[in-house]
Amino acid sequence: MPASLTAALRSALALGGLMAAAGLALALVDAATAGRIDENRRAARQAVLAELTGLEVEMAAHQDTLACDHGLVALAIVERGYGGSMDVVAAFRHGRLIGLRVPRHGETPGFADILAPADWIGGLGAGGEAPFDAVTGATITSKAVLRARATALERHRAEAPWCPP
Amino acid sequence: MSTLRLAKDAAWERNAAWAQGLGLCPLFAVTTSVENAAALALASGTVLVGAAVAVSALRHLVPAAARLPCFVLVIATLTASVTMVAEAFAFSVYAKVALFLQLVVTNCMILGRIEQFASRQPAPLALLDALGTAAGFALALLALAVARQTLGQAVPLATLAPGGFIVAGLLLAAARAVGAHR
Repeated sequence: MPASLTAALRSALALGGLMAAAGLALALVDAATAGRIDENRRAARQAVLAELTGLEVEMAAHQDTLACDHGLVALAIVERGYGGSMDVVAAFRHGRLIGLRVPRHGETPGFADILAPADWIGGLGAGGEAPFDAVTGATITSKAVLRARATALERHRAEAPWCPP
Repeated sequence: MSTLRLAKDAAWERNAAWAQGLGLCPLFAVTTSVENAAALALASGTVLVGAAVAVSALRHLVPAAARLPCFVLVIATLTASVTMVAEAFAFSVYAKVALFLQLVVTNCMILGRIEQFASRQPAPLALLDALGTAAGFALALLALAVARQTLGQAVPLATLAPGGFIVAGLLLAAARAVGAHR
């Protein structure tokens, strides 16, 4: 076998072996942390939902419809932002969007300021068309929230009729 | 070179942030508060130390031609693991610095020390060098965070990005002055 081929095979072997080890390590860490991560994300959604509605809403685990009764519908949406996925919670009361919150995101600190309840996102309730296309300086982050809002309105139209009155 | 000297040099004389100008992106981005800076220092340090020991232990098995992808794979695996552990066990801090935790993988300070030192030295020396480098990076992050958070009370500019450059420049000058004085 020519020397160059042997060298290439050695490189491939080293990289392949390392990849298998890395995959195994990541699977182990994932198995050890996935439960707690789910719990943390759920608690964060619960906290923003309580803040939005003033109610302690009992949520079902691992469901993207968080609440569906007493005229209250709350939906969890996962949207892709600038720094990976973000969780968005949308709450509707008597058919109207009352607010959006982002309990978890990976956006750049600073740009993510628009996600604070007191900022831009606080004015995004009240159904209908969004009053703007994006926030300058945080275009990707704000567009992701607006996409989540559109998804929430669409899902609300489809799912709300099935909620108990 | 004594082993203690090695760690001290890595932390001070060849400090990744202020002597070599490496890892500056997270340095400016997360030093608006001491808590965020400490979280990133801990995460970067863990990845650096773990990668240094792993690469050093594997150095005879990794062919020179494949060394960069191998090093990056080790660093990426550790970064992803640290990110998952942070989201599971320190959610409130994770929520603030999530993006920069993921970006630890691109910190050239880490790849730099792995390539220059850990891949050519036995594991105990690689460990010492990594600990020193991590301590130096933590020192740089925390010093800047303390300065910006304190100054920020009186001068709001200090907590904004341009203020970060100004405060970092002043701290850098101070560190150089201390070095020259010796």
